[in-house]
Amino acid sequence: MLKTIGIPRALLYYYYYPCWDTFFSELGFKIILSPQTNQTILNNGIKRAVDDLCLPFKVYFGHVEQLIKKEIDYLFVPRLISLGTKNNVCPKFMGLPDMLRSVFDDLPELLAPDIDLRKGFFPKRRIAHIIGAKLNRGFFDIEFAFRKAVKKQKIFEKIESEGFTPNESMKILDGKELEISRQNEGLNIAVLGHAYILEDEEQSMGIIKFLRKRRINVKTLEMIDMETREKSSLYSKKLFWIFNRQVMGAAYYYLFKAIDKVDGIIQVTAFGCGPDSFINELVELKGKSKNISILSINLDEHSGEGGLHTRLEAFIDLLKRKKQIL
Amino acid sequence: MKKITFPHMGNLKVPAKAFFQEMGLEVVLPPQNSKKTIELGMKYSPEFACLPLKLNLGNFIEALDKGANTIIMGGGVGPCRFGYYGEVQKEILNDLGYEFEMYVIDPEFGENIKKYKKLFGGFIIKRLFNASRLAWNKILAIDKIHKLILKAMAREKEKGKMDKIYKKFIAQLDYINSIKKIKKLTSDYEKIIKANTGDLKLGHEIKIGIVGEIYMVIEHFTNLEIEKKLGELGAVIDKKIYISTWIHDFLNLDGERKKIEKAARPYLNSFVGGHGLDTIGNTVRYAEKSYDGVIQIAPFTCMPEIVAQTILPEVSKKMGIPVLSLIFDEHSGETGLITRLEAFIDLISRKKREGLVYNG
Repeated sequence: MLKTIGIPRALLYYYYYPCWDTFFSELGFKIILSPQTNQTILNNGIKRAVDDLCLPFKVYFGHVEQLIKKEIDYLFVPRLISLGTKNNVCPKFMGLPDMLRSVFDDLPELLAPDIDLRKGFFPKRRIAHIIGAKLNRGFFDIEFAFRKAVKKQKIFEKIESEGFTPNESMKILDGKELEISRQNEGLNIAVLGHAYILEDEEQSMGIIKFLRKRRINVKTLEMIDMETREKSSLYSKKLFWIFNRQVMGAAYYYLFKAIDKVDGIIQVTAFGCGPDSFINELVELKGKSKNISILSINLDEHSGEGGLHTRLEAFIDLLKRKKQIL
Repeated sequence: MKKITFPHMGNLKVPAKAFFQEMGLEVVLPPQNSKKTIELGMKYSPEFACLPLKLNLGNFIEALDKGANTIIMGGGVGPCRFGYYGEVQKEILNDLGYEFEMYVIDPEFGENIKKYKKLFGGFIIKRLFNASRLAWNKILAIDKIHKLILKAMAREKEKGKMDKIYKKFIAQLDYINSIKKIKKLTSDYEKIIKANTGDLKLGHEIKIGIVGEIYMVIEHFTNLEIEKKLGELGAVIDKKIYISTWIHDFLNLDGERKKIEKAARPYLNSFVGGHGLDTIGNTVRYAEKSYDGVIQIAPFTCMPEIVAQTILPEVSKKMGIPVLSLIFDEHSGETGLITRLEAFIDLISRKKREGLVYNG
């Protein structure tokens, strides 16, 4: 029987799953993915975590609990430290495997490689070989799987940049049909936030779906290419958190370079996100002198869908009135 | 004319003021941290920003209102939010309509030289050397006396005496501008502390280590003078975070970093920004040195300390040391804190007494 590797459907899943999936499958493992976030997962996560921990990490704990029940052989929890020179991520990513070890007593063997792309030559390949060797695979098998995984990831990111969200892109990558129609009534709204919040419908309470149902053209940050995001972020001092830099860069891109491309910006963040508390403030301050409406939404475990939807409706009405299409 | 100001952090104002005055600049100190500082900070900061950012901002507003026009601020390269404080504060102050210049000292050597030249109007090594030497000696003096006070509070003859001695020392140190006099003052106060030291208030020694986020550990206003409160309850206190040790650490002058990493490794195997790793490593080290308890102090939403807080229960369980995590925000009240500290000390004290009975 194939050995199994559990992957929580949370956090980095939304950025790198196609790559991981290909890599481990090629090496001959079966991937066990936790289900879509639901109320039980959310509640389990909240129970396990300290109060102050941000919502996406609480959700992650909930997913890990689901996977443990399934008696997997390995749990894949990369320790993300840096994706290149002069960037890092929030401390919680850096301490994630250690936090899990402290929170759970019954963990399977962890595959928790350090992802620090500042170190050495060809760091990605080196990390792939470290993981592969831990799983007792041969050099050439690993090399082959690594190359295939990188290729897959590139295709995934290309699909994203063509105007699809990570979830949609993964579906397209698997050859599945997309259900949503893309009619729109002429309103363009940028919905900016981490994919691991926006793409998780339990956490984001389906913001994107809600807007699309109202025939609004939703733009997420994945739809702006990486280089533009990076460049635009430099309207403030270079930010060191890479994921937040992308969000900030996307917001600044619309504020400073392409203000006519969107009618409004919605910033979505989750309770307890340290970096976002700064980014939201900066975007709001910089947006003050621009003719654009910005809505900031802070989600937490007690947020009600009703309240959120009312705020969104009001925002849409405001934009429509401004554009005189009511 | 440049009128310099900088944020408060414990008694940093004493050496910092000495440094800038020695460099020939005028200093406008923000008023001491107060309720008003917090209120100003809260009003204009992002809601979920950490407490130090709010207090710094309050300091800046109060100092700018007093006539300062140049702000000196620390920086960093993450992942702790402190590295981006300056940028956010600058935008907020600009939005409020203040006119000022801000110098953020990031760990980038070339940039700093440029900023330095602009700030002081040239590069005179001798002056820099003298100013740094004076400031450094003041820092060392403050920390030396502080350490003694932390140990002596549990043995003070008269309640609250040590705190008074310390405050008097700081006030006097502020007026002295020669290294010789600093040394004299320090040794005088060592004697004064000794003269006021008696027997342990509790009858037995309870040793508490304080760990946590640097600003909260050092800034006595925001941590609600936790050291004083613990001292009054009869605890002998130790902490590893002082301004001098922080500078040592920054310049990598002592071997502390290695020791902390080694001690933390079984529980936390990565740098997590700020003092998160120190919190874990030092808790382990306190346990190894048979301390009776550890108190973690952190501001609400502090990312490195949240990681540490998540891991501390495991350290506590495996090393058998009681740990109390105290998270402070702008609404933290004295009464709540005192109750929790009393309960903690009481628990340890009882455990200790029972232990004595069993042994004897």
